[in-house]
Amino acid sequence: MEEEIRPLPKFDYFSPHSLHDLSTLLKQLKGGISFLAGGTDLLVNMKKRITIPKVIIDINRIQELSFIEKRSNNIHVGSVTRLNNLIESSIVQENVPLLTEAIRFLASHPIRNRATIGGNLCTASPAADAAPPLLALNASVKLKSPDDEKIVPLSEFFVGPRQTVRKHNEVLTEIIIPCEKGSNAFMKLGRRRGFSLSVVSVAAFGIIKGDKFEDIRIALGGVAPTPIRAYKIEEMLKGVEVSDRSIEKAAEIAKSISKPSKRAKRASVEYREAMARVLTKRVLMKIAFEERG
Amino acid sequence: MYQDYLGEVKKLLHGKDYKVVGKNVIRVDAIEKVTGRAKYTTDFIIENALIVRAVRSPYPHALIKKINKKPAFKIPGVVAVIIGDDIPGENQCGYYLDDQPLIATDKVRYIGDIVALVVAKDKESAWAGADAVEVKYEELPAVFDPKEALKGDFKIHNRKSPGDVKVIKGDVEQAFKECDVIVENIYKPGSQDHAYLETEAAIAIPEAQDGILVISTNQGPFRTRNAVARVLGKPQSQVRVITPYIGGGFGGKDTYGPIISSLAAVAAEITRQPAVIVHTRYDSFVYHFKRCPFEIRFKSGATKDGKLKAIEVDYLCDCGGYAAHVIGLLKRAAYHSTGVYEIPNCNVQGIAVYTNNLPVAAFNGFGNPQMLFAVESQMDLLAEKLNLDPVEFRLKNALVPGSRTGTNQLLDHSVGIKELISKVAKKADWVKKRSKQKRWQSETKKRGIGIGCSWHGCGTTGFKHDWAGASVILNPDGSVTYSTGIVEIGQGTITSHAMMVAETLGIPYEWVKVELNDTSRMPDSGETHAQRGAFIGGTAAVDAALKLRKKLNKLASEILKCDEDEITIEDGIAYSLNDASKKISFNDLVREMYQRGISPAEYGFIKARRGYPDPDTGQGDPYAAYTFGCTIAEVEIDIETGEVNVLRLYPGVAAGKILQPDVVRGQINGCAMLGLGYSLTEVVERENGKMVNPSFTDYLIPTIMDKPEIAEFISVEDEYKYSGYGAKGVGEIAFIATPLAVANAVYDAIGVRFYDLPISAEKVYFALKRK
Repeated sequence: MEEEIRPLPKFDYFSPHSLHDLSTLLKQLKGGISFLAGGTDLLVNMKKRITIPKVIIDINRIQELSFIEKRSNNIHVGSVTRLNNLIESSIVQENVPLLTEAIRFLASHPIRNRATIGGNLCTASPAADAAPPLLALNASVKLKSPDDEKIVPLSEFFVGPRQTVRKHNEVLTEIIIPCEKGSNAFMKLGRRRGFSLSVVSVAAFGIIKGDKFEDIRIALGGVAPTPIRAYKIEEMLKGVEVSDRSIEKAAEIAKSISKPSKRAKRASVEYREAMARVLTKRVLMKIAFEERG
Repeated sequence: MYQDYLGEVKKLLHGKDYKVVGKNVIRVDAIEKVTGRAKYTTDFIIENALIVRAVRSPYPHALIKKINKKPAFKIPGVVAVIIGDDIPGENQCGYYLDDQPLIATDKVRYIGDIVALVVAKDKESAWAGADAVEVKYEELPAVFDPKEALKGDFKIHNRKSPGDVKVIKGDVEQAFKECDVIVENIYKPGSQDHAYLETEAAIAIPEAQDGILVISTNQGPFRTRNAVARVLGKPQSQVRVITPYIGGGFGGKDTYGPIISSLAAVAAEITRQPAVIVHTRYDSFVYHFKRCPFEIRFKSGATKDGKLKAIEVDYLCDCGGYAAHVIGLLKRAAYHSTGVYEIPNCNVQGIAVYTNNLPVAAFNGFGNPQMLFAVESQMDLLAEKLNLDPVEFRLKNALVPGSRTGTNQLLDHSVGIKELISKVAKKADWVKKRSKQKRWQSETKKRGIGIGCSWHGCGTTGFKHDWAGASVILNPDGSVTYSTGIVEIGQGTITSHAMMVAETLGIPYEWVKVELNDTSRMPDSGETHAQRGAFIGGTAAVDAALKLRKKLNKLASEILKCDEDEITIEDGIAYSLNDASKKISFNDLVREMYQRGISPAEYGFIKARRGYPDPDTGQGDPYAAYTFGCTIAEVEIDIETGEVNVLRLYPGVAAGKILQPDVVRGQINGCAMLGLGYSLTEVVERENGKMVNPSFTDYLIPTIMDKPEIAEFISVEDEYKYSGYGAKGVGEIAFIATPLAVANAVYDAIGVRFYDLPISAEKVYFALKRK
C-alpha cells in the first residue's frame, strides 16, 4: 500500500528561465518529462519510485508563471504561484474568497510555502482541496505546448485519479477564475484538524434571490475518482425555495452521486458517501444563512 | 542503605525555603534548542564515514536457506557485506531475553528482520548493495493473531510465550459471591508509534587501544554499551557511548537504541572505519518497535455500598517476533491492574505471546495505558450500575497512606491520589458539568465529561536492577561540572539535576554545567525510562552533592572558627547563622579545598528502595514509590460526522515535589497530546505484521490545531522521603490518564462505550448509526 522511501533516482535536469526557453527545450526532448514546481508531491513520488522521470524540468525560475492579476472580470493566477502567496493575496481574498478559504488549511504552512496551485491541480488527487472551489467558480486552465496554447475548463481537466488531459509536452501556465458576486462556502472533513488530507470536501458558490436559489454551483472532493461538479444538485435547486427540505434533498443527491473508489484508503466508501451528504447540507445551509442574513 | 534524602536536605538548609528547587529556572538546554544550535546524533556524522544499510526480510516467517553476498560487491562503492556469522562477538541483542539475534542467521520472524548489512562509501551504493544481496528464503506459516498463535501449530521460537505474570491475592471466587454488582468486558487497546521528530541513528568510530566510540539515539547509554560490547566480544571498558540530545524517546529509543548502535558498531569494528546508520522516516515507521497491543478480559465487582471487592483479569500481549520489551511491560500492567484503588481480592494473569508481527517496544506508560484503559472503563461501568457518581465512587476506593496494593505493598507515605481527585474535580467544576439537566447540546452536537485516574510506579519494575550514579566536580573557580547517567530526551531532567546540585551546594543554578552523557565517566546508571530520570538519577545527584556539601560545611567551620551546624551556604556564600559577618565565598572555599588536599569531586550512587515480587503470586514491593495522575476531559461530539472534539483537559498529578514547574507543565501538556493521539487518531495499520501507513500523512498524530485547552495542572506535592527533594516522576503519568478520561467522556456524551482505541470519527459515526 505504501511504497518505501529511497534515495532519489538519477535524472537529467533542466531549469529554463523563460517560457520561450521552455518551448525550445520541449521541442528537443522526447518524453519521460516531469515538471518540477513545488516538488511536494513529485519528489516524494520519485523517492517512492511511483514516478521515475528521465528528465526533470524545473519551472520555478520561470518568472512568467508566478503572478496574480485581475484582468477585466477574471482573476489570472500563474501556475507556479505558491499556495501561501494565494492565501495572502488581497486580489484573491476580495474577488474569489472561496479559493482562499479552501486552501487556507491545505497541508501545513511549510508545505504551502513550497506547493503551487498548478501543482495541486496537475497532481489531480481526488481529494485536492484547490479543485472543488475552482470547479464551483467555473475556473479554467491554460495549457501550453511548444506549438499551441489552449484553454480547458477545469471541469474537463480531470479524467481519473492522478490523471488529467494534459499531455506530456504541455505545461499548465495559468488558472483563470471568473469573478462573480455571491455567497461562498467551503467545508472539509479530515481525520484530524491540522495538516490533514480531506476525506471529503465540498465547495459551493451561490446566489439567492428572495427566498429562492437562483444559482448554485457546487463541487465535491474525495467522493469520486476525480473532484466533481454536482450538476444534478445545481439543476434541482435552480429556482427552488430555500428550505430544510430542498437542502436535505440536495444533500441526498450528493450522497447518491458519490462514487468513491473502493480502493481508496483513509475512509470507507460508506463513510465518504454519508459525509458527502452531511457536508453538502452544511455548505448549502451556510450559503442560505449568509445570503438571507 | 536507603537514606532519607528529603530529611537530610531539609536539615542542611536549616528549614529555609529552597532558593532554586521549585522555581522556573531557564532549562539548561533551552537557548541552544530554540536557536537550533543544539546538536543531535546526526550532527556528529564525520566526513567519509561509511554508510550502513540493512538487508531486511520481506517475509514475516521464513527459513534463511542461503545468503549470497557477491552481487553486492559488483556495486563499486560497497566496502563490506556482513551476515550474522561475521559478527565478532555474540550474535544476540535481546532486551530481557536472549531470543533475538542482531542479524538473523537461521530464520526470520517478522517483516523487517535483519539478515545482512551492506557497508558502502555512499548512500546510493549502500542502498543498491542492499538490493543486490541475494537471500534465499523458505517461507513458513506465519501468524499475526496472538490467540491463534497460542492455540495453533506455529513454531516461531521453541516456546510460544516469552513470559507470563500473576498477581494472586485473597479469595476472588468467594469475593465475587459477595458482590452486588459485577461488570465483565473485553478490551483491546492497540499499538502506537512513538513518532518522535528524530529518527533512529548511530555513529560508530574506532578509538585508541582497539576501543570503539558510539554516538547514538538511545535512552540507555549503559545498556547500549553492554549490547555493543556483547556483539563485538569486547569488555565493557572498550566501548564508550556518548549520547547527545535526543529528539524524543518515549521508550522507543530505549528498545531500539542498543540495536541500531550495535549495527553501526559491528560495521565499524569489521571495517575499522567510522560507520553510520540512519533510519529514514519510512524505516522508522516500518521497522522500529512499537506499543504492545493488549487483549484484556476484565471482571470487577463491588458491593452496593460502593466498595470494590475483587478483580479477575486475564490478558494477552502480542509481542511480535521477539520478546524485546514485553516481559517488563507485561509485569508492570499486572502490578497496576487494581488501578489507584484498594482491592482486597485479585486474580490477575497475563501472558505474552510470540507472533510474526513487528516486536514491541517500551512506550510511555509501559503497559499501563492499556491496562488502565480497561480499569477506568470498568470503574465508570460499575459506578453507573451502583448509581454512584464516578468521582464519588473513585474517592470511596482510592488508595490512602496505610493502604495495600494488589501486590500487597504497604504504601506508608506519599499517596496523594485522593486529594488529587477532589482537587481536579473541583477545578473542572465536575458536579455541575456532569449533571445532564443543564448541559448544552444542539441538533448536531453533544457534550460529555469524563474522568480517568492513573498511577505509575517510579523506577524499573521489580525484576531487574534499579540504580544510578552521578558525579560532581568543584572546579578551582567555583564552577561545577556535573555528569549523570541519565539522558536528556527532551523531558528536561538534566535541568532538575542541575537545580538539585545547586540547591544542595548552596550556589546559583547557573554555576552548574551538565556534561554530555558519556559512559566512560559514570558507573552504570540504567536507562532513562520508567519515570526514573529525576527520581533515581536526580537522587544520585543529590547523593554526590550532599557528600561535597558536608565537606564544604566542615571546611567552612574550620576557616570561620565556628560550629559545623552553624554553617549555611546560600547564593555562593558560606556563613555562620549566628554571626553573618563570619563568611567566605564559595570559590574561596573550593580553592581552599584544593590547597588542603581535600578531594573536590564526588560520585553519588543510589539504588531504588524496593523489592522483587514473588513470581508465583506477584506479592511484593515492585516499586519504590508511585506517582498518581487524574485527568478530566470535556468533549463535544459531532453526531453527524462522528468527530470527537476534546474541548478541555484538566490534568493533575501527585508526583511529590515539583522540581521545576515549567518542565512539569511541558511534560503534562506533551503527555496530553500523546494521549489524545492514542485516544482519537493513531492507528498502526498492518498487513502481515508490517505497518502499511508509514507516513505522517496517514499516521495521524495530533497537530497544534488539534490541541484542546489544557488547564493549568493541579499538583499535590506528596513528597517521597527517600528521593532527592521528595520528587517522584511525571513523564508518563499524565499520558496514561488522558485516553481514560476521553473514553469516559465520550460515553457520557453519547452513551456509546468503546472497548478499543482509538475512537476515530468513522468508528463513532457507525456506532451511532447502529444505535
